[in-house]
Amino acid sequence: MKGYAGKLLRVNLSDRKISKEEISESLKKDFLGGRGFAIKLLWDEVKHVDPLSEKNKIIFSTGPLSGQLLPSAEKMVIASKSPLTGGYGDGNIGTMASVHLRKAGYDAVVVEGKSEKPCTLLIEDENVKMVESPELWGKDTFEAQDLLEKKYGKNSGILLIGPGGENLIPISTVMSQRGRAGGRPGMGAVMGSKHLKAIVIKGTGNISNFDDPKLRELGKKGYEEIKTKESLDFWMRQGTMQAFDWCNENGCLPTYNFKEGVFEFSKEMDGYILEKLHVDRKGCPMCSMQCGHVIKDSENQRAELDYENVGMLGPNIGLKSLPQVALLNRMADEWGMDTISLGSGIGFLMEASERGLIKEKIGWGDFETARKLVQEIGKGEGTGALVSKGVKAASEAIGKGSHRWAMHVKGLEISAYNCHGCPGMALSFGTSPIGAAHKDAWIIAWEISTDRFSYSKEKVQKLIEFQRIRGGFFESATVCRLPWVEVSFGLHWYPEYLEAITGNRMTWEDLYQIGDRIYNLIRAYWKREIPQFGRAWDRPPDRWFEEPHSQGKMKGVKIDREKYEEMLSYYYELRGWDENGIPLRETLDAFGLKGVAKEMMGS
Amino acid sequence: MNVAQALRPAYIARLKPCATKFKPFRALGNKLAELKFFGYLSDIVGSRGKEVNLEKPIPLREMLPSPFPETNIIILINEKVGGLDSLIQDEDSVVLMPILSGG
Repeated sequence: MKGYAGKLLRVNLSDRKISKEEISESLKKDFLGGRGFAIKLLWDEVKHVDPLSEKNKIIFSTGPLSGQLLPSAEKMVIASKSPLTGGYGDGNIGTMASVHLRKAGYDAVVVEGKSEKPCTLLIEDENVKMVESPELWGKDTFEAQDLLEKKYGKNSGILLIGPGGENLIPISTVMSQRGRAGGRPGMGAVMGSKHLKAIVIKGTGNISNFDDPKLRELGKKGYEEIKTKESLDFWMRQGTMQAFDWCNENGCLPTYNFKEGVFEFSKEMDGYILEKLHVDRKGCPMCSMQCGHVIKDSENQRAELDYENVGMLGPNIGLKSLPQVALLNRMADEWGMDTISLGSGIGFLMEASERGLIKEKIGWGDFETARKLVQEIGKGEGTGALVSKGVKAASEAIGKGSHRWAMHVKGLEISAYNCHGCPGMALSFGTSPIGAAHKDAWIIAWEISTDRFSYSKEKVQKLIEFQRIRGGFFESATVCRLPWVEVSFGLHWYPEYLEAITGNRMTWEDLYQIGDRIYNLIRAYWKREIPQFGRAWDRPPDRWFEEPHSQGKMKGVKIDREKYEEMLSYYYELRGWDENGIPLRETLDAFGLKGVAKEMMGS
Repeated sequence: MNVAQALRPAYIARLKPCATKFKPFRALGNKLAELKFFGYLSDIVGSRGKEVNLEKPIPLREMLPSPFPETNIIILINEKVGGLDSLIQDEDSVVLMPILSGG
């Protein structure tokens, strides 16, 4: 099939063996790329291992759209068995590394084993080698990026970890280009466990597509369509931060560890304030609507903001100053840690302090202590150590009912949407295949636009449709979903792009099939790796069911537990899973996943 | 004046009631209809909010610039989902916002 490099690069850091393998036609056809390739590789190769042992593998995987001159086609997926959740973990990242990997002639890289000393993996087209790099170990991601650019060239594709990953902190991410981050469920820690500080990629080739002139024409038309969008100008001014006052208005802004859905200081830090403080824009290659807004933080350093990190490091910890939030965010990027999990962890500690469950006094909005906590979490020391393995582990450590307000699903912290009044979005977090991430099915806007408080079958059907598009297609193609979601870029473009790239005509129905196959295999992976895995893993925290909001328009609102369970059962029915959420043998067989059912059940 | 007040667009502070059809004598204490606009919809309207004094119930679309986006928007009238043809009257609270993602 055209449009793929057709090669997988495998690097074993233990014995320094480097090999290049053909990617089969069936893998391309059945799993598309990105997340699809990743779960198939993990299913086949990573079984019952400690995520931080050298037996785990980390996969850097692109898809047929990656690196093409198409709107926002710059993503790759980083996946592994997660040290945070114990199940399947992945994240996407927009980076020059994706473009360079494809130009170097590879669709995916599998890194296995463990280097004796800190190293950098250097990929220059056909030439691949491990380079010892002790001088980079201990450096933050900004400093290390500078040193790598100086050594290998400014335009190299670079993926790297910070001290968080080196210290095996399970909420650490993989970083790129001073602020791009991916791999929330601890992908940075997996790199750290392998002593792999960075991957530098320099590709000089071209991707061979089925019909390049057609693809160029379609790409041009796509970029032109985006330029005509009425919402583009506002998007360019506020980016994802337009969601801030939107969420506050709808009572779903995460506030005080998700206790409330409105923040009394929201007007002091919303998208309009961001506009005034904006000094620069950052983003991914190929993107004509870059989302990163740079402001000067409270130390007068440049820091990039978006809605998720402002929501979680702002109202969720009671902090009302955007420059102070920006500083915490910059620290998270430097340390290579996930801002969502970090905000959730700090919020958890503040609430634990308020309830007298820890001896330290940490008030809501206490910036100086929050700043200290970021470092402690990154080192796994002091008070911060409690949440450095995530809020699930923290609640298990302190007990006393804290699991009720440890805001996670499957061990992954919930991103910045409070769902007391959004049962469909709660189900979206509940059934996301990596834990409580918003990337798979952001149904909340559709939900509010229709029948917000219902627990309807239509809502569950819509959720699965979103999962197929977002978690199935976009994560596997791999391409950014934001042009579609934020400025209504037409979904019809993508099958057209795929046809020009691969020569295969595919409908959205075909792509849904691939998405469903991927979801089923991920589900089976969780079950195989965690034998007790089941329905309980798909439930959001008790707070959303038991503690109604006390303020704002959503005062008194909470989710009905029984009705949530009814939606969950219907979700399983539509997915072809049993009442415990385990894929039925006939479902797996129907997607061509032969033998998976047996292995999943450990027999 | 705090940072937020200093940075807030001046037009927000100057918001004045903007009527499509004024009542000649508005009963004392009668609340106006309030419209709030989010995201790029505020650009189209030229304001993040306005209050409107209505003689009689009128369709929402008559209070908005034309053309106004018909799809991918959320319309809430008194917290309930409405449409551009919903009738608006005094004391109604109307929120118009785009479908968006947040990241």
